Amino acid sequence: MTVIETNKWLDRYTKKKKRTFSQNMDIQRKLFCGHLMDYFEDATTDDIHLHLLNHGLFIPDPLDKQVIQGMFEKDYWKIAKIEISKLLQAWDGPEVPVFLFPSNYTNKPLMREFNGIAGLSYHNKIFLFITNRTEKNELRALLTHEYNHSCRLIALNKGQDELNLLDALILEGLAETAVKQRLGSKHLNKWTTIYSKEQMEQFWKKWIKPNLEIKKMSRQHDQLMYGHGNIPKWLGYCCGYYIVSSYFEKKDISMYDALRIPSATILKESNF
Amino acid sequence: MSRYYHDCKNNIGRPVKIVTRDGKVHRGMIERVNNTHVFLKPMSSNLGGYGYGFYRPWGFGAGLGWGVALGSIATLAFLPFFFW
Repeated sequence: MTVIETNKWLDRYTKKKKRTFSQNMDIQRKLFCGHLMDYFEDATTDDIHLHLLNHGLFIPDPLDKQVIQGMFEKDYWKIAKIEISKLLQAWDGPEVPVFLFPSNYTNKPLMREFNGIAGLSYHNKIFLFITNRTEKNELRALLTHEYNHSCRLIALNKGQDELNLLDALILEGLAETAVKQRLGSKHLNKWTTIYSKEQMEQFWKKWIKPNLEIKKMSRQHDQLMYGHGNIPKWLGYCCGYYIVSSYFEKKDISMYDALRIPSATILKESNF
Repeated sequence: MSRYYHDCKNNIGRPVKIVTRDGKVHRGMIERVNNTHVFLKPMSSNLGGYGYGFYRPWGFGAGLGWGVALGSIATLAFLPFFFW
């Protein structure tokens, strides 16, 4: 398991920074995404940069040096390294590179709703976005969530074009259940409790149940996960947590085993 | 007026690839055009993965688009929509 030395990339970024926003965007893209090209297929540095920005990477800002320095002082890289080796042992999951960066602390919804914490996972890599104020257990919770995704994706063994909404619901539900088990309810994401059980039963019938087969690549998939227009905010995330927690309530099962159970079986044996 | 003005004006919202005379390549979506510049904004890219709950297409900062002087354009090609 490797926590990549993005601290060295960030150090170089702070030393190379210039005057204007667009110059610094350019430096950020070349420095970070140049390294990341090897980890994505058929993507330009522009594609990678935009994708990471959309998912919470910091944007160049006069205060970023200070935030980066604060992150160095707290040595989050070391915390991540210790945590990931524990997770790997517990779930017997894949060895994946972990990339740690500052998050976009200038984005108000990200600060308000996620305390400046974001992440992005694949079966073969993980991105973590935090601030200099992130607490140790918040980082552990984020890493637990994201690494749970990598383990689940490896167990599912499906291509991007095969993954569907049901897989995403169970994926998110498993990840937050893992956070609850390891760190307690205090560290659960806001979206786990945004709707009551009764509300979710209605949403389930109206939005989710008819669309379980929708593929990840379709636009509707993300609209159902994150919310959009009439679709309630974080619908899929919250629904997935309800499904998986009801499954764990009914079954006496470890996370290690649950990670290897097909999505349809988990749904069938839940309350939904 | 540049020969590219009407091309751009009639294709607002379309993804485009512009190569300027200095050899720089610009890929983006046409946002607007005036007598001297065409303004592009970044195209959404979908490289997959699963997020933590936060996702803001283009939400990382308004004004990230950029202007390209019409007079500097060497070639302009519209890209197919499925490209993004």
